[in-house]
Amino acid sequence: MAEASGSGFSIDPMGQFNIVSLFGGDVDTFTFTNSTLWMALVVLAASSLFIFGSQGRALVPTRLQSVTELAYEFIHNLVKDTAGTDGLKYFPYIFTLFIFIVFSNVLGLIPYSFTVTSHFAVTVVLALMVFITVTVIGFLKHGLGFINFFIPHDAPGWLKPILFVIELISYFVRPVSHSVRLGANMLAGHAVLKVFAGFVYPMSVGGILPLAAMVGIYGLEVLVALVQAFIFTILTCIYLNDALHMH
Amino acid sequence: MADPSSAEHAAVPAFPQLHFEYWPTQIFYLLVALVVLYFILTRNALPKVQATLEERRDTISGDLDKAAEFNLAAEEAEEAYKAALQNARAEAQKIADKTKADVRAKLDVAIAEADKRIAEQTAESQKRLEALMQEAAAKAQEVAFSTASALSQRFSPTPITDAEIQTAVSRRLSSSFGG
Repeated sequence: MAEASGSGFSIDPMGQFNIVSLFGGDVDTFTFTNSTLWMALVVLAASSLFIFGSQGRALVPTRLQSVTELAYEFIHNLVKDTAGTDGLKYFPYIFTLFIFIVFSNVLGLIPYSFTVTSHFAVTVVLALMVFITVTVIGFLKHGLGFINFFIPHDAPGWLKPILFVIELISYFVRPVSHSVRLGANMLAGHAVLKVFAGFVYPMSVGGILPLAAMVGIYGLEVLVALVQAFIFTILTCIYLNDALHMH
Repeated sequence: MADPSSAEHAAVPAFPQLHFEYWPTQIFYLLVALVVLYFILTRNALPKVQATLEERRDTISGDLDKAAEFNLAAEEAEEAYKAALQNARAEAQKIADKTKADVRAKLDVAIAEADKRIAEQTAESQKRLEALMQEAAAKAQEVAFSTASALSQRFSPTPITDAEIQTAVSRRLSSSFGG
């Protein structure tokens, strides 16, 4: 932490990720924290968009309506193309995940806000939800035959046990990469912005340089926010497809 | 997380993501938020969006079908128009042919009539001419006879009978008139 340096040069890139109780007291399971507030705002913003956007039902959509319709069709086509028509049964769950993540990521870019998805507590739960659901679907649909998913059928016999172990490990690594990819992207982007922001004031006039860099990085972060939500969703669809069709 | 025993560092954790005492609250409220969002989306928004999209798809495909029908009708009308035009042309051709034939027939009749009349008139003229020529020949004979009898009374030493004079005049005149 740069707090200790004597020159008044204080850069605290991780401070923004602190979980603090908004009404005092210690943080326990049911405490209303800043994370809770921003989750509530995410739900509020997403619900408002979809409730108001879907009221009009005009044949020629209004602007708000066409945002909801674009989001709907985008994820609908993504699920259909990636997981097949039988994957559409799970479309509402995937859509909820996508909307929650994309709103968390984008709202987190508002200055002084809190990014819900920058915490591994959140992304790990999201990824585990997908992982457990998909594994249960796989076993429900194929029974114990789902084990064959871990054994490449065109491999020579003596290689199969080794490949089985490798496939099993890679399967269990999925939720790790799935969650860390999203969380780390959010975390790193916001930390970098904070570091650059910390340089602006101490550099006085020269501070224009880190400020200009921040503008560029901010644009990049908007892109990352959307792309990471998309990647999380498409990986969910791919995992779902594996469970439904076993390759 | 340099020194977990320090009170300062506990208050401002170096890496809040890895402070597991903050996980339960986030997990709890995340699940609440997801359930709430899920119910709002599936109970309210998504069915409406889906219905709107289906309505639009139906309307568009319905309009396209209608357009195709109209197109078909237009093509049929064009066919009918072409057929009618063809018929009219054929009819006109027939009428023209018939009229031509009629005119030709009338003309033929008129020509025949005219030919007949011309032939009749020619024959009549011929007759009158012949009559005139006969008359002329008779008159010539008369004049020749009277002249010849006057001359023979005056200059002939022997009396010549009228019959002889008549014969001689006839002989002479028939050679000159070709009679």
